[in-house]
Amino acid sequence: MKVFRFAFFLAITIALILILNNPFQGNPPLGKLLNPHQGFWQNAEKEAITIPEELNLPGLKEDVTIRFDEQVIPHIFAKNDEDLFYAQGYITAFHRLWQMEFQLLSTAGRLSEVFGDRALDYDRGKRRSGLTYGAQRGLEELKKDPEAFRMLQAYTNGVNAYISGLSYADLPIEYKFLDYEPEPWTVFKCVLLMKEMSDQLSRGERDLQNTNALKLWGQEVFDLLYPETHPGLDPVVPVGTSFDFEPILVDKPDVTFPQIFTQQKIEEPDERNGSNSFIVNGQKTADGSVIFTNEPDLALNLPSIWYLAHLNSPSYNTIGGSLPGAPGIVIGFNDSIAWGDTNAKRDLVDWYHIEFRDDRREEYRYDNKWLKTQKIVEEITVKNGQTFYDTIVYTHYGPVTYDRNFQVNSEKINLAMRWTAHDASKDFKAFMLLNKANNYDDFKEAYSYYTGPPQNVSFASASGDIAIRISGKFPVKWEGQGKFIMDGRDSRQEWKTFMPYEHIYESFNPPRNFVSSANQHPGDSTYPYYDYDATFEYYRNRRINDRLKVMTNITVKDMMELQHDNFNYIASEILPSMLDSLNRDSLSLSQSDKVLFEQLNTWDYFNHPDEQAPSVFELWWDHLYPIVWDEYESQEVSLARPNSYNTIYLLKNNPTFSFIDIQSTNVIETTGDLYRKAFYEASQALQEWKTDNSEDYAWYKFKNTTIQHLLPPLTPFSVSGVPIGGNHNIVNAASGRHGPSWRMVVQLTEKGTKGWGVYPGSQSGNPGNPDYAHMIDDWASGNYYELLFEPEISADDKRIIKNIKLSPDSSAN
Amino acid sequence: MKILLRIILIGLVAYFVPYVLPWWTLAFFAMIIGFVISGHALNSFISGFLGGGAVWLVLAWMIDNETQSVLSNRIVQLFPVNEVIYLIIATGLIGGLISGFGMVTGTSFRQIFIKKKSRSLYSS
Repeated sequence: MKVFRFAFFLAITIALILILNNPFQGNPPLGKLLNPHQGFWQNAEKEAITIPEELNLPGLKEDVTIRFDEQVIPHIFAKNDEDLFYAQGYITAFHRLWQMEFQLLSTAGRLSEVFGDRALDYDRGKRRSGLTYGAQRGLEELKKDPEAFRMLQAYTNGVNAYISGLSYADLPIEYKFLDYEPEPWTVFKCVLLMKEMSDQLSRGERDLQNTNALKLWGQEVFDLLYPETHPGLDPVVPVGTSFDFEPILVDKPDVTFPQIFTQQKIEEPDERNGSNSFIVNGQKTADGSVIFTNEPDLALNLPSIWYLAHLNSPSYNTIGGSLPGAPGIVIGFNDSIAWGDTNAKRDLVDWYHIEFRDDRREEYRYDNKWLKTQKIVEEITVKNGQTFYDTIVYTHYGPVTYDRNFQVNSEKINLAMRWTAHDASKDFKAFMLLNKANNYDDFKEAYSYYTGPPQNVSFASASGDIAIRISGKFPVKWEGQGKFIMDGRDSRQEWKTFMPYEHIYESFNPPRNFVSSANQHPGDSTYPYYDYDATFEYYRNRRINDRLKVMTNITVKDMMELQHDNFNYIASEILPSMLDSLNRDSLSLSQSDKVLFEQLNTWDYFNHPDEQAPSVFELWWDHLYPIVWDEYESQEVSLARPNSYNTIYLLKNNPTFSFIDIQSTNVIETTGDLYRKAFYEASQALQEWKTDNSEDYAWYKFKNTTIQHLLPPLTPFSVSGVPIGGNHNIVNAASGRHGPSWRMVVQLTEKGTKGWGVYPGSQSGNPGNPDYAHMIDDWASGNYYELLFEPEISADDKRIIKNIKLSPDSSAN
Repeated sequence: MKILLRIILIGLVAYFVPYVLPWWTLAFFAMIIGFVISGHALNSFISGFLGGGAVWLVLAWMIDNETQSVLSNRIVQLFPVNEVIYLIIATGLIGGLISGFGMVTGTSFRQIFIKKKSRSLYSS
């Protein structure tokens, strides 16, 4: 009996431990999470920065001082470059370790290790995109450049010094929720981070959808739905720029493309990933200085995409936004120049249809030969599940992403991916040189090492120069090459060579005294190379240029205001027609509809946060667009609907185009019918929104800009309902989940540089930090922080809240 | 007196041990205390529950107070309760249950041998 009683209590105790120490039905392990010594309580911080004032770290060569300012930006003062990047790695990990690791688990297709088999398809898509394959090639290339490699190794050592000092109690809270632990950092992961950026910014393409659309509707309709360009666009490099070089010309061979339908696609990068950068020279400014701006418009996440840092050593003095996981500054300035990026859209992913010799898939046809494939078995570890093995067949083009085992059910459809991000490159060398560049020549030299994701890299110097260059690695294509799925058997359809660096687009000190870019078309039709993409921007660029053309005596404040410009170009181009159609029908409007009509009729097209009209317009447009393109609903193949610009173009210029009609009705609808139908639907939807949310449908409430934690179910770690105006296709590009992830303004004069910046988040990624997400309000209302940027900052400077010293750990030597 | 001694001992263990060892090892130490200072099973459970529970409750409360609920205000939204005090109580409850059941397990283990011993005494 007593033995039984003992066994009973022992069983209860063990069961309690097991239940509380393990995830239970999708919940985190409660005992592990709630205990006061090691659980989440330990992640609560008393102050904005809690870090020992003296740290002894193995592998450091000399003492490093780090001073944190009021925004907790680290100002790192090192006596040599390796220590500088070591300290950057250490302090970035201190603030952002979980994010650094998690985003690369995603890139490497390893989320199943954390989330189990529900992440399996996602992981397979990543692996089949060849991201780790590209990173591996990049790593080999970097090893040939000892200087650049040492920088990455130093950063890696710094991250690892931080990780090795962690106990369970110190782990970022996300590890505790998801119940896993960090692993050592590697140089490979730094390289993989660049592939992550390529995955977000240069993997976009429409080859599969274009092939489907062409087969469905024929060339004539296809060209109406997806024109490559329109008259009157405002490109990055101004119309009239001369291209003074002898281009490498490739003639279009007489080829045919495979005619295949595909049903599904791996997830596309978000089209709203974009950016603005605009710079004015001394002719345009009030005090003769050069004023530079940049803001990358990306997913609005917490922890933030950017981590601000000031790097100082005998060879560096630079400040700006860094990417957690990579050494150096990506968007920033030093005492001579400022630089930034906007995504340069270009179709850099092409698909080749592969014919295997037999179902062993060991050989594939290439002209009259059979070439050997290489098979790589990807091992995907699945939490609480069986390890999944995925065999990926590689051709000389790249991985066969789509085949009988993934996304397509047919033995006959095999698509190999050709993507510049798979090629060996050493992009870090570019940042290394860029961070200490003094002038335009240094800047050009730095970017000669840069392959991608291609960027419109903008430049301003204290000596008065302004410029923009479209940097990256671009294949030389014949017209139409890679717009549709190509035939992998036919060598004439393969990329033959790449554009020389001297032939890329450039605008240097143009006569209009400003340069700008906003992801639009790169240049006009006189550029000798084929530069197709399916997702160019049509609005932000025109608004920025419209303004800059007329602005004079520009101040820093004016440039900040232009970054927050809320003018809705789409509304200005289509709303008058929409209202006109409703006006003709005004007798049948209900009382509440008349209110909406009046709101829009008196609206000045600015998406200010407290205005209600933008919400009405947005709803109206959101109901109009699907009924214009109702033809797409019934299709079972993968398709992309035409962009807003072309939709409006067709509505206004081609109202008899067959797609305007709603297929499911017996009458032929006019554009006016569509506008009215969409209006009544929108009015209904607004009523429903009001019932569910609030009477006040102010734009910011309706839009609900949310800065979302990378684990969306942890809603208390996200911030929603941010009171900011704008939208996608508006200069102030804050939409629901995308927007300016880092705003920077820099003023450059012969006397030096001064910078301001703000981003929607906080340096600390810890939701238990009193400053967590603290910059969001200032970001939304347009308040910038002046960036503390001096070659020397004293310990008792009143803008400094904490000083720490990192010293070499003598015991480890 | 035994109950007080057990409460103090488990309290000390609950305060110090989880700083260096995994949190659940508290149960193991509770077993040892329950074994060494044996007594009635219910008393043993209650002393473990009170000692371990109170220390964890107070520790959580102190952290929460010092950090002005900066994190617990967020975490509590993930639970079906809406006040931070329930998180603190839950923390105490976990500490209490682990200590209490650990201690009563230790005591009941000891009692297996006590039983044998007393039998031999009476039978002699």
